[in-house]
Amino acid sequence: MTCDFFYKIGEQMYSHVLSNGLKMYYIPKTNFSKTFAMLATNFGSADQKFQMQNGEILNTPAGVAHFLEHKMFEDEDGNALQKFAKTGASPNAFTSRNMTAYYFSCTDNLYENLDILTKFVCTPYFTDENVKKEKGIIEQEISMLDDDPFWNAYTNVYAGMYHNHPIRISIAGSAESIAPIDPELLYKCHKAFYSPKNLVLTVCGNADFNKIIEIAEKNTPKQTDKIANRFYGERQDNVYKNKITVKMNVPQPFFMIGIKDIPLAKNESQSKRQLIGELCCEILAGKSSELYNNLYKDGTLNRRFDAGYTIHPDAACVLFSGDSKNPQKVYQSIIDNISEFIKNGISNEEFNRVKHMHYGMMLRTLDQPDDLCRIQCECAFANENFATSSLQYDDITIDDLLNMFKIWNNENRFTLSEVIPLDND
Amino acid sequence: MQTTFTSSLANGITLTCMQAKQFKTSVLSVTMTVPLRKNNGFAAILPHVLLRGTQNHPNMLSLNRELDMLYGARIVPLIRKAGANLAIGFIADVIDERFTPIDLTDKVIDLICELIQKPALENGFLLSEYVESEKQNLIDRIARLKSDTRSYVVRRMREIMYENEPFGLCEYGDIEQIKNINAENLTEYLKQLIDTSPMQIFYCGSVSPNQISDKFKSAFSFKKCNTKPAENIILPPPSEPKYVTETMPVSQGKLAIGLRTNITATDSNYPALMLFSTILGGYTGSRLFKHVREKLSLCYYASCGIDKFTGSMTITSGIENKNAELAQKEILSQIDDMKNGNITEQELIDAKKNILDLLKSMNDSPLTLESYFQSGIMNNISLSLDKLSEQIQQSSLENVIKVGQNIELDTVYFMKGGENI
Repeated sequence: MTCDFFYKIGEQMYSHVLSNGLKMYYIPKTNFSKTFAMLATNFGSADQKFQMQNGEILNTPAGVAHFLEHKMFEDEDGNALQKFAKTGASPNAFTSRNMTAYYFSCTDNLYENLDILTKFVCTPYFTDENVKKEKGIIEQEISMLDDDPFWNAYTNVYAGMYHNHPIRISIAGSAESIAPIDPELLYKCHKAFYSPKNLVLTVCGNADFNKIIEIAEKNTPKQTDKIANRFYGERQDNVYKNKITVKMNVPQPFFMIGIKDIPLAKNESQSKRQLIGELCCEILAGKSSELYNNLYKDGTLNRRFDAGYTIHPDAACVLFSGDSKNPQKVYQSIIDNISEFIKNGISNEEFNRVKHMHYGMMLRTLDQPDDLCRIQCECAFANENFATSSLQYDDITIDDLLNMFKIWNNENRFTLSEVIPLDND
Repeated sequence: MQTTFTSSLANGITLTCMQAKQFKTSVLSVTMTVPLRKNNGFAAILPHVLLRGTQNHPNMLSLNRELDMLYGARIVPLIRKAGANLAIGFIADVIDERFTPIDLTDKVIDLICELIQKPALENGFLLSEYVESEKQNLIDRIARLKSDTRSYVVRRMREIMYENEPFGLCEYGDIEQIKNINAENLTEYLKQLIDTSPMQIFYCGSVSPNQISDKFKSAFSFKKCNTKPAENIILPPPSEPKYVTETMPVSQGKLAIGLRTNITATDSNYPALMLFSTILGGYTGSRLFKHVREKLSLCYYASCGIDKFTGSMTITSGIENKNAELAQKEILSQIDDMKNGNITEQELIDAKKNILDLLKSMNDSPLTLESYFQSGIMNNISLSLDKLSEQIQQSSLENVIKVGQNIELDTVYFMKGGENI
């Protein structure tokens, strides 16, 4: 067990790796009432095609990681959600393109809850009957997402940016794609990606780390499977489609604009790339940027405008989203402003102001045990930790930002995804 | 548990402080309360117009760059509907004073006071350009409410349920009324609001309540206010429940059921009502989750919640059109079953644990605490988390069943998905 202190941000973290490969972390928040625990696997909707340890290559249907997330709660002796219901904990789970995470928060009975969590994630129990039953529930979840303008714009922006990367497909899949999912396939996915080597457990709040280790040791398998080899297809610099438009029940267009960045290089620091990406987003299109303020002033944008940077397996991109009667104008402004920055540079004053702001935002996320656990799990998959990025502000230069803008400065990397009103011509 | 400190800075001006040293975030809010009315557009637009610029920072760019220098402090418009009242103002979050060498909290308080007291003016009025552009934003926002179907069905159901009470009114006002807003009448409205409406100030962070109180006293020239928040006068349910079905061009149908419980936050039976609602549909161990979702596979979500100011209970679920009747039948039969006394001791114990856990967890989030206390104070109700937890623990099964027997169905609203989609 090791303990790291991050004095600058007033945090510390205990770490331990079990002999079966499970990485474990504990971030103390001793003055907090609740404790949050997350057990995550480095397996998300992007991991559709992979090779099992025995050589078998699987090309799984869209939505299988998410389906597995729903079904993991089922155990031979009952549903884990019902076990949590008896302890007072609030459990949940999510599947993203990159990972699947199971978590709970509680103010009491922590070790009992950890026992439930580590057991059910490591114990698959699928039957024809329980898989069939789940289809009805997931179909309704998909139907709910189909009606969500944000979700449509979000899925389509990836479908536009990527030619064949599985991140271009909706995380939950479709009613058709999940139809053939059966217990056998779910068992295979579990074997391929729920090995302790591929899992990270992070606990934040009030706990005794030794007890956490004890429970994890007891409930995770001693013998561990090798993590399957995944395939994400060939990468292209250019986007697949420059524009995707769908019509929905919206009074005015909602848009997402994506810029396809280059995937992370081998040995490149994920947290450093993420920080450079976020600073670029803020300088270009943050609340204190010329771009945002000009477009707000002329009525093209409102307060609901966001810019964010995301890293995926073998992919990275920037996403801008918001409401606008004229998404094309936002698109053009982004292109124009990027080339302006490349032409005129970034002033020290601007660079420092945005770093100052970003530091303040980062510091506040440390108050959110749920965010903190998620970030730590993601960082651990990349062999880094949550504090790495917060301590890197001094290592980043204006040139790092300009170099990123130079990659973005290419319209062939842009996709505009818009959801427009049904009565639009 | 946190200790709250509430004091009156002047007549009608309430300051609530929670001194907390465990957070890296401090939260501040300043709101003014008006009764819910059709002309609430005047109130709802104000924080948006004021955030466009002050006398020192005449435009948003200048204001937002100032916020960057305050470690990315966020000041956002707050429009809160609770009971028969509407509170408007600002909520700010900022890094806690302990993590900065500057008097950050003071600076943010100054800025909030400047937003309210020293807005950018031309010829003595708010800027026409800002007023017109925020009018359009507000009208667009009202139009957009329909595209979030999950929350829209609840809103629409309440509109129908409370057709004769203020609770059903939209917090953003009415589009026709918004069109009548101009720089002159909005400036007049702002002056009147500052002079007459009750004001609630909230702070959670490491600075002492006395310091916060002194700072506000020096930064804000409070006027004496004699108005009181509107009272929550609740009508009895209709003699026959209302059944309304409407169609929307979406794929999933959505059901929203409104019931009247006749119990609000100040009622001694309120904790028992919380338990009833939690057992019915408040968590994954609830009846709706276990029966409507897990057993019948009808939906992804089916849940129940109560509004402490109006005493309404709302059940909502997303389902296929063809299953609407089946879901409704199952939901109502679960309620009847509970009313008939078929609640087990185990259900009560589990629900208690769940509520107590949630109440205790609230202490970890300054934003949650802000919303909990400020919504109470704007309705002239003081709410204590400790007391509520104690009462939850003491509630008996008989009590919960008794509370259930007074719950009456008011409105069943179904938003049918369009067949052509």
